[in-house]
Amino acid sequence: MRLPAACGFLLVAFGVLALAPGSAGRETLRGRTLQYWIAAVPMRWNVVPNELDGIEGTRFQPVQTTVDTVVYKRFTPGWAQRLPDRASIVGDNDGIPGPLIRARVGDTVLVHFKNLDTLRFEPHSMHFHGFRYAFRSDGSLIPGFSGRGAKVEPGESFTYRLQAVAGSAGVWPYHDHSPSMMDSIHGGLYGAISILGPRQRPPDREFVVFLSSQLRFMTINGRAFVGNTPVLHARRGDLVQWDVLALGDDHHTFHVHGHRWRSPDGTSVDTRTLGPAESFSFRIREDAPGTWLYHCHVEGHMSRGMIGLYRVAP
Amino acid sequence: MKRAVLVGALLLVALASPSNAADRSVVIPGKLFEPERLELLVGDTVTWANNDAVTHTITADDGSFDSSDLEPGASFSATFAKPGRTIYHCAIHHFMTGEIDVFALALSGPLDPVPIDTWFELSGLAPPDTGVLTVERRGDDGAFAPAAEATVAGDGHFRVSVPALASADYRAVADALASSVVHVSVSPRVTLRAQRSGSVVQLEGSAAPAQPGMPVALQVYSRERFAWLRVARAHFDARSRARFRLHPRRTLRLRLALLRASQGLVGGTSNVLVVAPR
Repeated sequence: MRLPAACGFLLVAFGVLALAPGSAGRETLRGRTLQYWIAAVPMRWNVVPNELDGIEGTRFQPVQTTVDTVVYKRFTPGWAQRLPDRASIVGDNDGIPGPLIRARVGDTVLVHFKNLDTLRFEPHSMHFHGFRYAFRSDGSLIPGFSGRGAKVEPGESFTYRLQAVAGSAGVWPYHDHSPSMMDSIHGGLYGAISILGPRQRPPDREFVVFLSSQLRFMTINGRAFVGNTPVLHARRGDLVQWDVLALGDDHHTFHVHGHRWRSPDGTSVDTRTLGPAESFSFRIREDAPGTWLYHCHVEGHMSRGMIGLYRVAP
Repeated sequence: MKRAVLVGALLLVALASPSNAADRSVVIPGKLFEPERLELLVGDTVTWANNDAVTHTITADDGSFDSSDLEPGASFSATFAKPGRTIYHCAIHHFMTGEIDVFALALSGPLDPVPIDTWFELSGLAPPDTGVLTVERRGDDGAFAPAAEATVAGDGHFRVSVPALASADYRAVADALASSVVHVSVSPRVTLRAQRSGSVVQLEGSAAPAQPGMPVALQVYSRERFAWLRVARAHFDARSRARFRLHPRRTLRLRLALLRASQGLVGGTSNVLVVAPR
């Protein structure tokens, strides 16, 4: 019974592929079908490339800051080639976080996932927050219940079918939910989803700020300390969208200097708490030129690297 | 009798490290050991304090000690009777690792290359009753010979200045004790000069002793990256010179990095030049 259903799905997926070879997809009555080709790949990752805590002056050696790990990378169709990291989007396809998955309410998103973990040869998966999907696309292992998508073995692939429905607008995490998730999430196997409302305009700048930890460091997008964490750039007048997410074992209090934003209930905010797998986004019409800090206000996290620079040109 | 010996031993440890007792402790402020690496003398006791909000363990990879579950606020001690390196970890959070290096006599030197014909500092730990010890340099014949003497302070620390003549191995020697060998790299003296003609800045880099054919990189300091970034590459010519032309549109902090060197020296960096637009 399960096998014919899976075959039918594959036919549908190939049908869409034939119509829309790029990842841009096609317009349908209900919205576009977007396709992402993503693989879990090994990568040597330096958490502190300049080997310096620039504020406290502590220096490190590469052996203390470098780790071999597995990350999500976006590819061209058929996983033929790795796509570059677009500098125009912070947190686009650098490795940690994984590729930013963008959609609009009404879209169908097909994520073709391949496990190319030649570092540890462990099973991996993708589990998505925010979207609506059928159980087969949940990507999390329940022995005896879940299917192949929950435990994609090295060399294997699986397509997750996701719907951006009315309640999907906003920013959400995705991550490994296979049996190896305890190690792999700590190693950086996670990413962000950004879904626009049906008629919401895209921002001028979008910053993915993913709070987590690696080795002994507290990280933003897998890096620690000013100069290594993303240096965010904007201009006065820009509509800037911050996508703030967290994974790991810790709670964080995200703070941006020189700025406030409106929470959904209308109150003015400059610091917000979030725990593992929580996420939020906010928009600022930029009007405060300067070089500002953004950081987690848990001081022990800030001093272990969870801090970055935000530069606004006049 | 046994108790007296024990008290005597504790007293000795206390006397041996009256002012730097804090250096013999490791704190767990979160999911890390702070400091990650600790140097000790034989006989020292280390105390780990769990200041995190969750349980950790201090477990030697070789099984030589194990705290088992250490609740928040609890502490654990171990005494190190033999020289050697022990790697340990938290059995709950495997990525938390630390290192204890026990020496009869410890020596450490600069991590970065030292420019030739300058002075650098070697420092270390020795039994406090050592008095004066000898720092030795390995010669071209492979044998160690005295290079300097150092007086050991009451807390066991010592430091001594040594001239940088060439890259060399050093060790400290006191009575029957010898430290492990420390390698100190020495670089040529690298110089960067600027000459302005109109809006153009001519830069000339050089090195002494001469390093003809060696690769160099012109680097600019990025304030927002807290790092030196490469803007141009070149090789020294036969006269050990490299030239660059710039039209600076903003004020730049520049230096030349010698990427490799000959004659037993290693690469190094020049003085910093500040170049402003005309």
